[in-house]
Amino acid sequence: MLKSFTTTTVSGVRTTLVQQTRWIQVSARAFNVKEDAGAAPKAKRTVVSSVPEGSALKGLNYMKDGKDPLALADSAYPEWLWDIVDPEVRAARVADPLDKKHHKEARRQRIKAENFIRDKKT
Amino acid sequence: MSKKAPAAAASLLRLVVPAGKATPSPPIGPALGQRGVKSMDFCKQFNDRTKNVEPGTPLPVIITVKGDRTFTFVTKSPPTSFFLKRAAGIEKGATSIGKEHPFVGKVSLKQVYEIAKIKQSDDGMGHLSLKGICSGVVGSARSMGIEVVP
Repeated sequence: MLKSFTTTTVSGVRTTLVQQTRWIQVSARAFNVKEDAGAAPKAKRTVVSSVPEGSALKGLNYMKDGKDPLALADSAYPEWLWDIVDPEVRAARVADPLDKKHHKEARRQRIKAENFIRDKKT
Repeated sequence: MSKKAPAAAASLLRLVVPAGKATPSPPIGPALGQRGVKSMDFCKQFNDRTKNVEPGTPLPVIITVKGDRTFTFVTKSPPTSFFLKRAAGIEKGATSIGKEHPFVGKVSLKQVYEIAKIKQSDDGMGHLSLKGICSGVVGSARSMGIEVVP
C-alpha cells in the first residue's frame, strides 16, 4: 500500500516522501513452535565443554554449609543450553524472517542508515 | 467497629545488604530512619534470617514499610554479577567492553546454568523459562566483559 505526502525538510526544500507499508506474511508455520515432522533432523552437534564432568563449579555456593555444585556430563544438560552461545544458531535466528530477532536487527540497520543520511545532510 | 483511618501508603525500599552484617550507618541507617523504622530491629531480623548464608554475601532486600512504621522484608538471591565475578575468578568487571577490548574473564555454560537455577527461585522469575534466565545471565556476562564458552 503506497502512501505519499509532501513535506518540508529542515533546509526548506519541499520533497515528496513515499511511504510503503510493509506487510509481513505470517504463515501457519509461525504458530508452530516445534520442528515439522518432515524436516531434516538437525545434525548431531558434538559439544565439548570446558568444564569436565565431576569438577566443582567454583564460586556458585553462597551458603555456609553448602558446597559448590558439581558439573554433570555434557549430555546431561538440556540441548538448548549450547545454543545460547552457538554463533550458527544465533545467525540462523537473525536470518529467519519469522523470528523476532530478524526484524529487530533489520530495524537497527534501518535506523542506522537513516541516522547516517540525516547526519550527513546537516 | 471504630472508624478506620485511611490506609497509609506503604513505601518500598530496595537495598543490597551483606549477609550477617547489617547496621552500618551509611547504607542502612539513614534509609530506614527516614521512614521511621528502627534500624537495629531490621538488622537483628535480617542477620537472623541470613545466618546460614556466607557472611558478606551481598543480598538484595525489599523492605515494605507500612504507614504505622512496621515493616516486612523479603530477601532475594545475590546479584548475577556477584556470581559471575566469582565464577570467572575476577574481582571487578571490565571498565570497557566491545570489539576493541579484551575479555576480563571466562565462564562456562555449565556455570551459567547453575547460576540460572539459583536465580529461578526468586519471586520475580516465576514467569521465565530456565532458558530465558540463562540468556539473561549470558547477557549480564557480556556487559561485564566476561566471555561465555561452552
